[in-house]
Amino acid sequence: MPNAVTRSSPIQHLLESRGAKFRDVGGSSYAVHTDSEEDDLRTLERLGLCDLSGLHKLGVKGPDSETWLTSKGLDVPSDVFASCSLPNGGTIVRLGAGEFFLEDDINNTTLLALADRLDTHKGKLVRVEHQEATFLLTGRRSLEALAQTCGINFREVTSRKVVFTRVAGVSCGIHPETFREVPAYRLWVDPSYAVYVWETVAEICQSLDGGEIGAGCIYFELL
Amino acid sequence: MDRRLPPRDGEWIDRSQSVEFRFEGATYRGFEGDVLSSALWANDVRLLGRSFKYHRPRGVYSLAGHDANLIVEDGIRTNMRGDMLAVSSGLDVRSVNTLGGLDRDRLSITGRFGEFLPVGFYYKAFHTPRRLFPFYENQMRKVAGLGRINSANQRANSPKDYAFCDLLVVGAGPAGLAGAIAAAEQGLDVLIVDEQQRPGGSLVWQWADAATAREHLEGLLEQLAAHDNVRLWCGTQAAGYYGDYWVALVDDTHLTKLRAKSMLVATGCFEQPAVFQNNDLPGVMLGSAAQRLIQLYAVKPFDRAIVLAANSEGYRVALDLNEAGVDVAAIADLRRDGEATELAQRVDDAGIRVYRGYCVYEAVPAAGNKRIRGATICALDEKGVPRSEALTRIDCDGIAMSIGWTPNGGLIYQAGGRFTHAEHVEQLIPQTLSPGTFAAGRVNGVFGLESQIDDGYRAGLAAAAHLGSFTGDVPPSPSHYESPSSHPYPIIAHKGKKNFVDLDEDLHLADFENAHQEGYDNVELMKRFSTVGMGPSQGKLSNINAVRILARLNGATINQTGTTTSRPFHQPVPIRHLAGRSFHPQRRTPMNHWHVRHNAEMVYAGAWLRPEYYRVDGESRDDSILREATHVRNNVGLIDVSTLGKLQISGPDSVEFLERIYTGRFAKQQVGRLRYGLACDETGVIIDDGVIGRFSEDRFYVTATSSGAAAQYREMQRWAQIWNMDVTLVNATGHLAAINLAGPCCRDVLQELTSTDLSATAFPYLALGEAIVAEVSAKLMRVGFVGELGYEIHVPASQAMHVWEALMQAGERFGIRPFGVEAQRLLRLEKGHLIVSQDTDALTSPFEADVAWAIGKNKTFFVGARSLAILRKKPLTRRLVGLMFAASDAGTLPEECNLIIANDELVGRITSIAPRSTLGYPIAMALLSPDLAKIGTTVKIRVDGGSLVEAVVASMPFYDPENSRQNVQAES
Repeated sequence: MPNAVTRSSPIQHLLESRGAKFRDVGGSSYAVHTDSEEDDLRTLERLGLCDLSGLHKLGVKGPDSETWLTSKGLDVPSDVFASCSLPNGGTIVRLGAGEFFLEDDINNTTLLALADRLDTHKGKLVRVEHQEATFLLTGRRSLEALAQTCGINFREVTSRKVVFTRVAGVSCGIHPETFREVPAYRLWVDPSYAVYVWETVAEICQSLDGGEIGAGCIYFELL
Repeated sequence: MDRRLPPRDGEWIDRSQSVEFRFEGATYRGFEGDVLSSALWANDVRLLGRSFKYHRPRGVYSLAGHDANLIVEDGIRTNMRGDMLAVSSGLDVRSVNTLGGLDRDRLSITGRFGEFLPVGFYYKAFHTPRRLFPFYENQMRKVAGLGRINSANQRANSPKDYAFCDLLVVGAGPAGLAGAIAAAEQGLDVLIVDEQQRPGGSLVWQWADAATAREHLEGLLEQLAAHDNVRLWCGTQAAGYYGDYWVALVDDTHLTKLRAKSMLVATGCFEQPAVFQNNDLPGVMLGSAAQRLIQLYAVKPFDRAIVLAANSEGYRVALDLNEAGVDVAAIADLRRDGEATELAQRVDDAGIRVYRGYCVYEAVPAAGNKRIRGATICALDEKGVPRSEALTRIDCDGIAMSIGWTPNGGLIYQAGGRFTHAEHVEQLIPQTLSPGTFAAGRVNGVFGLESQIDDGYRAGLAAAAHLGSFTGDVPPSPSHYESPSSHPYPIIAHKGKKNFVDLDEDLHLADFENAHQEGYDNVELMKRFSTVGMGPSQGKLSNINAVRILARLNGATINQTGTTTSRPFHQPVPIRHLAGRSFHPQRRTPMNHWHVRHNAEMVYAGAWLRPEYYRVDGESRDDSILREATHVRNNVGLIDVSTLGKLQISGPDSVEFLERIYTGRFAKQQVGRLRYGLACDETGVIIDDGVIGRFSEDRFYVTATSSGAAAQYREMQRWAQIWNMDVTLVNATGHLAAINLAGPCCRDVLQELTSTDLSATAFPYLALGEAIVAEVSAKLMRVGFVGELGYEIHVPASQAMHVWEALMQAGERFGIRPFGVEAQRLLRLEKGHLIVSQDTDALTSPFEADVAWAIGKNKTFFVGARSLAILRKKPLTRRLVGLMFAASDAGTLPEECNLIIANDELVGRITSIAPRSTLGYPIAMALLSPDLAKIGTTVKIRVDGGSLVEAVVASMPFYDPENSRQNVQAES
């Protein structure tokens, strides 16, 4: 996996046009701030929408996928749609009996090593290209924003469980989390729909006194 | 004249916030908290609207939005109800359904012809002679309808919203609040909604004179506030119930789709009008409306009034009016025995005269009918018939009616519950409730204030028990021991025929009698013939009286007569709320913003946005397309084909799976090679095509059409399960971008960015490989869709922009140019390559499309094989052919889907056409009758203008029939 070229978010041009400041980490480009650091942090707690599409993703699929992942020292969730953490940060989600989705932390340490070994692997195991956009909806009003786009009652969704549903008419995976003691929802979206979903959710956030925030208030190493 | 009363406890207006607004061109003042109806009445404006049919003057009637007397528009919003419309600075509205203004409505002349316009007159009058119907229709359309839609208005976004709760309590009156408290105490997540702007329900207007009412309300609200598992949404109507406790909640701004687990209906009742002559004129109103004016808006309803009563509430109305300074001239009590409670004594103490066993025979209109100046009352005989020979005239400017109630039970009906008429309350009450639905308070036939609270608490516990949160004993519903709150027949006949039963539709008593005489003796037939209950207020004030009339005409009981079902919506809902926020998902390729920045004219291809062509100043669309195509033929071009479906098929059964899905053979396909794949459905119809590349023995990479990719992937998943095959399928369509580099110079351009040997021998036509292109991992395919040397480069979406720009840079010295979808379509048409779903339709077989060569010989099974075996033996009914036009025809060419005609018969249609081509003349593809498909045959196509244009059947491909351009062998 040579890919020395920096990965860019499918909405990078949107954030550029809003004057966001960018920084490259782990082979990807991130918008660090859309506003001042303090304003971004306040928005994060109220209602923030953050682009984390730069996070590396990897999919493994096939009957041997669980065995292969555990052989690499990873804990894998036992239930379908359940998730657990990767050793250096990041998330692994079981999508089916033999299918897993992994999203790395910002430094991309786990997947970089894993993907290299997967490429040479033989057997009933397939590497699945995952280029989803990752959007993080944060804050006390995040549930209100989500309620304007999809019909799932997230109050009843347990943590460490991914919900696959439609957000504003687009298939999405939603992972409920808690960030800085406020609720947060991680949205994984097909990159071709990323601009549409971002613009729609951002408009809803603005109507609820929220807004776009930079990844700098999620990952301090970007600052 | 200002009818505003001095400040009073509990009023909803904020006297510190004066508001100036306009109605019918005149300026008025009101207060924050006023609704339009109350503010106008406070300004002594009695004429608020005109009726639908006779354009009769109308005023405040229910002050609860249960009537359609005051409907206004402001040029943007239409059909807003004055009872619910809050006044605000700058509000400028006019009444709907008038010609020449409300005061001088020229259509009020129709009232004079009422004798000639009975119910159903237009059914009978206008169907013959038929030739005159367009005239009648035109005239009727001019006068029919309410507000006018301004088509120049911009769409106003209205959010979509979802909400959830354990128990939905509809109605924040005494029963609803008590029910919510009971449920909250048991730990349920409770949502209370009420269409009024503040909680309290009847506590804030009907019981306002009772010292305990305020204490009750404060106590209930205090208890509610102690529970953080209760939400209270005022100004929100439960507009309709759909399956499984899915309830539409509507407020001023939007519609919320609520999913509850159970529902407590504490919606109370609609007060009902009495039917007597001129019972619709301004000044005649429901007793509850008069109380609302006084208690909520501090407006004096009348100066001198008569109260028509048939229950205790009527006496309370009289006392409230008296307290507000209205001279209550009399109470006409329809009951021979009058009021039995202590209220009778209080009325007597107030010096109000009571006429027991009396009715209001008619309201006496002032000149112009715009207010009343008196009423005549008379005694009723033993059968309830008015003794009109002995009338008593009483001067007054208002008549308040309190004769009965009907339950606001729409949600109960919609949830599957049924009502029955109970004589002890002379009201419909729930007979059965669907599981999980509960009713409490007046809708349940419980009228006493304490009883309503008890009933609410009981229902809240019952809901908690239903959801498993309460295991104790649920107490029984309180019984109603007092006299009925509704009169069984508050309808007074009058020869004047202005005793209205349905104010929305101007239906009077005789209309029902006539309809019954014509045989409409069933409640459903009566409704449809007379249109009772079909106006904007949906029969809230008319249905039960209509049922009473019909029951009496049939000599039947109300239960025998039946009722009509109340369907959503409870109150009118703006269409923009139903539409909600517009969700139209769009797909964009990673290079989308680059295309836009480089003047691409973007078009939709399904959900995808694609560059149609790139605009150049001073160049027409057709010129741009031809220039782009010519550049590909002569030089090198670049097109974004990321919309192509990109599917991975892996596993031991991959070959067998592909051989079953596609018509061709793949078992002997070499690793590193591409083959054409054609997919059919079980009927042998072409559903998709693409290329199938083999990366290893058990790993394939397949492209699918842009529009068909998702469906093709679903089909693959379905068949893989049905056949129980050991394959792993991945849809990477959105995750990989694809770029097609085409033209004689393209190899040189690409070679600058990759170390992979692209020579014709190392990477020949239909080769497939994995390569590093511009430092990015890529899947590389040598293809020839546009008929030139070409490569498809598939890369991760997040790095595609980099590769695209690298290709543009590397191609700079060759004059590389991007080209759009239209140029690509032209190029492939010249090459005779079909596009599935453009050149094929839902019936096209491979034989018709001339791609039978893609069916593997001697294959025993694939999807559609059986059907194709049958079709192969049948004569073709059409064939896909090429057509050539004379270069001089360019101005009069057909368009796609224009029909081919021979001997006045339809013999084919154009599927693709290029008015200009790199060949110098127009070309097309068409599905044509086989007997005309011989090369050189001249056919005629009817163009949109109706004329016929000639074309000649030509062999395909039009361009490079030897395939030497795409299948380049020699080194460039």
